[in-house]
Amino acid sequence: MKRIVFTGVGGQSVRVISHVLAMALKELGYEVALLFDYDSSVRNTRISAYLTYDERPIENPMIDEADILIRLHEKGDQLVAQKTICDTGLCTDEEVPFGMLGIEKFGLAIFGNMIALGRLFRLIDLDISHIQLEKLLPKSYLKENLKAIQLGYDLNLYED
Amino acid sequence: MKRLVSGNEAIFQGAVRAGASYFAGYPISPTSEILQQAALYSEENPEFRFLQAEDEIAAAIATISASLAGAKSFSATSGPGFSLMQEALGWGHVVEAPCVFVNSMRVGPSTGMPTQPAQSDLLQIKAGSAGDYYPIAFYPNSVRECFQLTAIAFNAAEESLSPTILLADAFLSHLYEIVDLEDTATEVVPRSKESLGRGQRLFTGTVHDKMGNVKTNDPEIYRRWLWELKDRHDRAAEKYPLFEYLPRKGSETLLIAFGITSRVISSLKDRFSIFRPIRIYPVLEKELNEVTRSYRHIIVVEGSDGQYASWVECAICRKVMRVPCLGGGFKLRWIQSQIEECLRGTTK
Repeated sequence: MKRIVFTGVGGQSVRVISHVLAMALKELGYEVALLFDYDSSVRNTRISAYLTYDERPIENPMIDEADILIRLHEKGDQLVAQKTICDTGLCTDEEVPFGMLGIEKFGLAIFGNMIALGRLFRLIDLDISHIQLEKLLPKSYLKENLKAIQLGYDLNLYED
Repeated sequence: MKRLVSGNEAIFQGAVRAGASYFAGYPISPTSEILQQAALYSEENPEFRFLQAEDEIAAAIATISASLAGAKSFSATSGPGFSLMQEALGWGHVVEAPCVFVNSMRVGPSTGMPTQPAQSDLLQIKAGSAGDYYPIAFYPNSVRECFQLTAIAFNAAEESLSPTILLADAFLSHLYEIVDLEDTATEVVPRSKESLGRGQRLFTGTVHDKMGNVKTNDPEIYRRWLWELKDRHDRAAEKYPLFEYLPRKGSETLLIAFGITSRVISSLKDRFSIFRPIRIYPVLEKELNEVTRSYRHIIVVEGSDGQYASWVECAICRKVMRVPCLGGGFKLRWIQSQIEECLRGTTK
């Protein structure tokens, strides 16, 4: 069983990227539970997505301690995690300038979230060539999103 | 086909499976998605009627009225909206209108914490309207159960000739799980009452005899009416004594939890026995008595300050311990620490 938490603020597509991951895992035959916890304002207040997947049905969909935490904004929840991936300055584990990469490569910081999703696919060993991502992603900005996921997937942070 | 489905969508689809053809509501977190689903579905299915009312009062009256007109009807709201629906719900019981009201609970009172889950409307759904009446209520804990129990709520409504309640909470409404709704079997009880336009019918919230004639000065007519209503509800509820019991051999402690709380504490099943009431009302008195008898400690873990714990104490005539998960806090580690504290208190 793996527990992944996405945390950020409204407007950062936390819902979209967690949903895409959940759908991809479903396509690969996993059981998935995805739970959203968010503040009452839509924009710029915290949102967390708790995603648990396993080969067996999920009992507890709430997550106290994550295997992987993706932290996309300073207002996003902090919780104990085996590994944290974050945008620059938001953690002391794996920092990636997702927002800056989004601007540099695609003209908008928001694409940083798809780059983060690509990085996550790599970390949990899901081969994206086996997933029909174009069927799971929103129709708008499809090409850019696919490229952003690939970019995140191919990131070679440690030059290993 | 297996799909990733939310609790709210499963509730809507369960209603459609049960034969619902009318929805009236007013948007509110965390059930607005049910209203959205109804709006979209009505566009493609003209036989399904949808009304976004001006407020919850109008939505509740429209739902009951649609039932009187012959439709299987339902509405969905949360605690503050349900408070506004209370007068209409009492009316629904008097005019014997089978329909379903969904209350997905959030932290109150009043606007409270609109997106945070709670389980603190148990008392208002039981007795929030005027006078004596006997609502039947169910509370799922998974997306599949949201679908199944919505259909069961419709069936119980037809059998009791009254509004029934489907409970949920903000987390359950927004929980996505992989389910195959098309492949999920449900029994469907047909519509029990003839629709309007056939013979003479009188609908009144005032006490009346069987013909619908108003009788406001005869205790015997009132008593006869109320006992008949109560008996009908008891018989309908008896068909659904729904609960889940996970005994743990050697455990002296029984945890009682329902809805999302029961999912969170499910990982404690290797240490404690767990009882999950699914039918919340009428309270499962017989089952609670049978199950609790062999336990030294009983701890009710719930998202209110002891609303269900009080019902358990009434049912089993024993004090129970309480772990109230308040303000949307449903994390396992915290709950575990509170259970330990309860048990330490008993060994001092």
